[in-house]
Amino acid sequence: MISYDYRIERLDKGRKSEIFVPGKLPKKIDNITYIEGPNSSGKSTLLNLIALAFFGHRNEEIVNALRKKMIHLLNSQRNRLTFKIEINDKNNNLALLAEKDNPEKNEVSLFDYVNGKKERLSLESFEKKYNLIYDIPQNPTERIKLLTQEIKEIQRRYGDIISDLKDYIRHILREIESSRDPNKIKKLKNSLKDYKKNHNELQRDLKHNKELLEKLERATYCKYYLKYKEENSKNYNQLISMQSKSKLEKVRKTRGSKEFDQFNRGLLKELKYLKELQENILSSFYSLPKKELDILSIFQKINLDEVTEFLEFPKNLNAIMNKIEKKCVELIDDSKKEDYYQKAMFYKELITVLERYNSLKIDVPGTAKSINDLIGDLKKELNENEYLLRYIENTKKLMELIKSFSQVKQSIEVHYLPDLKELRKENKNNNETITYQKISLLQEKHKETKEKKDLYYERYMKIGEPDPKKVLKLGDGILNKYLNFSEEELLSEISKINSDISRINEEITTCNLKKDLTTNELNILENQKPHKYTKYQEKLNKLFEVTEELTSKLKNEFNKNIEYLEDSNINPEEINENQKKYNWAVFRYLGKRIEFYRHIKDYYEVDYINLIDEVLVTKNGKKIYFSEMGTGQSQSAYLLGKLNTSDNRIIIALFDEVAMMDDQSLKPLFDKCRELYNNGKLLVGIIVQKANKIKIESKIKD
Amino acid sequence: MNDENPILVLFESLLKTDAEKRILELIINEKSKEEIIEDFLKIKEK
Repeated sequence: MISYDYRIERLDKGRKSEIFVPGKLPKKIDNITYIEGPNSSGKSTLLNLIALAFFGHRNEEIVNALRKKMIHLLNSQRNRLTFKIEINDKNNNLALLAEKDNPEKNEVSLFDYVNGKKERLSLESFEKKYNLIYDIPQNPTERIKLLTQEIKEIQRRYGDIISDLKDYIRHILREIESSRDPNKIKKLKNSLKDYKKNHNELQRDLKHNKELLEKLERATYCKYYLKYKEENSKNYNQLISMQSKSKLEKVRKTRGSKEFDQFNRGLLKELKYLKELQENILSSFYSLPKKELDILSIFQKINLDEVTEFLEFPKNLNAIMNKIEKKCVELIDDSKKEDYYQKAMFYKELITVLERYNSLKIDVPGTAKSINDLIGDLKKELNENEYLLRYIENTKKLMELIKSFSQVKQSIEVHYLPDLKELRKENKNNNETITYQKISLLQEKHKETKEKKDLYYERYMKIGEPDPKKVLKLGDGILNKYLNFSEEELLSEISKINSDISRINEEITTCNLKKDLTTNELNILENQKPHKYTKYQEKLNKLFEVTEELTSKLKNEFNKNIEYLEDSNINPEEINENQKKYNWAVFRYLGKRIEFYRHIKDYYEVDYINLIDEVLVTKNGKKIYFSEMGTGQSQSAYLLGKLNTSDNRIIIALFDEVAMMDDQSLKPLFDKCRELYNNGKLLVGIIVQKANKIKIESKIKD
Repeated sequence: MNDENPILVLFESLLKTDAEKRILELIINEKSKEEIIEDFLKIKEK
């Protein structure tokens, strides 16, 4: 039952206001009612007020002309409106109450009754539960096409809902990310275990390197401090002895002696370099394991200082140099024949090859070892045989030194000695000059050894002045491999170990940082509660993807499709396959919406409605073109389409001006209203038609 | 899907996967977000 009452005071400037109240129509009508009446009988006002009560003036699905009428009624400058509408459901329980009791205000109070409980309805809450349909089915065949607007609206609405769902799933996924995750905890625990293992290995390396450095520094600094201390002391004694023997006189600088000095300084410089080469040759030779060579002792005894005195090299020096060189060649040839050398070279080359592929995570066939592990093993083996490679390299280096020695010697013989011999003949102060030269040489040597001694003394002090007798010797224990290392190589090794220690320390710091971060993350995770969807994370990710795809389809793809279909200038030949598929889905949807169609005297079940060809096709294949439709029949088809809604909202249907429809056209409309009403899907169905006399018919029963 | 509801018929023919169709069906039937998620988590991969 629908009960209503209203009062409209229409204000007109300069004229007396008019009052409108329900007079010709009853104040109570059934939920499904057919009303006929002349103009100004109040039938359209009733529909406008019911629509207004249910936010019809804000409903964009209602045609603009009808909305304007409702807005006009609300205009307090023009109308002073009050009304009250009560609607009972089929069980005669109050379902909706709408009231406007203040003519000055636009506000309408709307209430919903659920199990007797009264709740205020907003536009949003109303539209969620109810579907207000208010229409004038003019030009119905065109209006059938306009049913596509509903599809557009549905796509937009569902697109928004799915977009909300997508955001909600993303929110859940973020919650899961920060919740207690057993898999993540397991992974973090494994990482922590790895960091701890790595940390222990680094600590072990650090300890080893520190011990090695300490022992190597002690051995090296002690050895060279003592060596240079002794040499320096020897030089000093020689210098003192020479200075005391000779009474130094200032050499008169004649033209000849100046020239002599000039050549002599050049000779001294070259001889100094030659002596360094001599020392290096001896040092390199003694570092070789096979040093039982008489020839070396002869080479060692050659005193190059004497060259300044006699102005010539010992006569046997060339022969000695040749012998040494020949011996070196023999040594290299012999060594290369050794299996150890072949083995070491093989390992070295193999390591070079494997290191090119060490990023591959594979086991080397036949070894059951990774490439990196195999490289480690080979390096260990190579290390044991490395002395032989070093031996050959040192011998090669020795040959280079001998070559340099010969070249410098030859240069002295050509550029200095002949001129000096000539000048000496002219110089009367030979003896003084020779003494002066020797003293200069010794002073220079003394200065050099002192610098070296001081350098090593400083380092020796720094390591705590260890007792040289108690210091581990090069070649013993951990210093095994350093036996044959030269001074330069030892210093380079010390520098390398220092760099290794710095690197390991940095790695330990990084490892500690990672360990701490992982421990913190683990603690946080372990203290969190597990999310109820944690184990469904993968499925939720999939669901998120589906909602993303679906939102895009509804809001973009399908929206473009429906807009294309609404376009009246479609050229059927230019429609692409996707659009065709969409069109057919809409045509069949419209067929479902209209459901039945009466043509002339017969009823047909509708299969689809082709909006492009403007034809309705029935299930038995009959084609009825829009141009062939009677106006009343097409109005009926259109209104049936409006009632065949696709959601579960309760319908409030108001149809005005159905003038073209005869009883046969109206019948399916009332049948549909009744069916929906009995199923609880329709609360109001009022159909209004213009006529000369007022007629009110309840259509609740057939 | 429910053949009685015209809009379901429309989307039935336009959507490709069962998951998409199922989500839309649940939305048309006014299921809440939680109900949709719970329903989906029980669906076997198709």
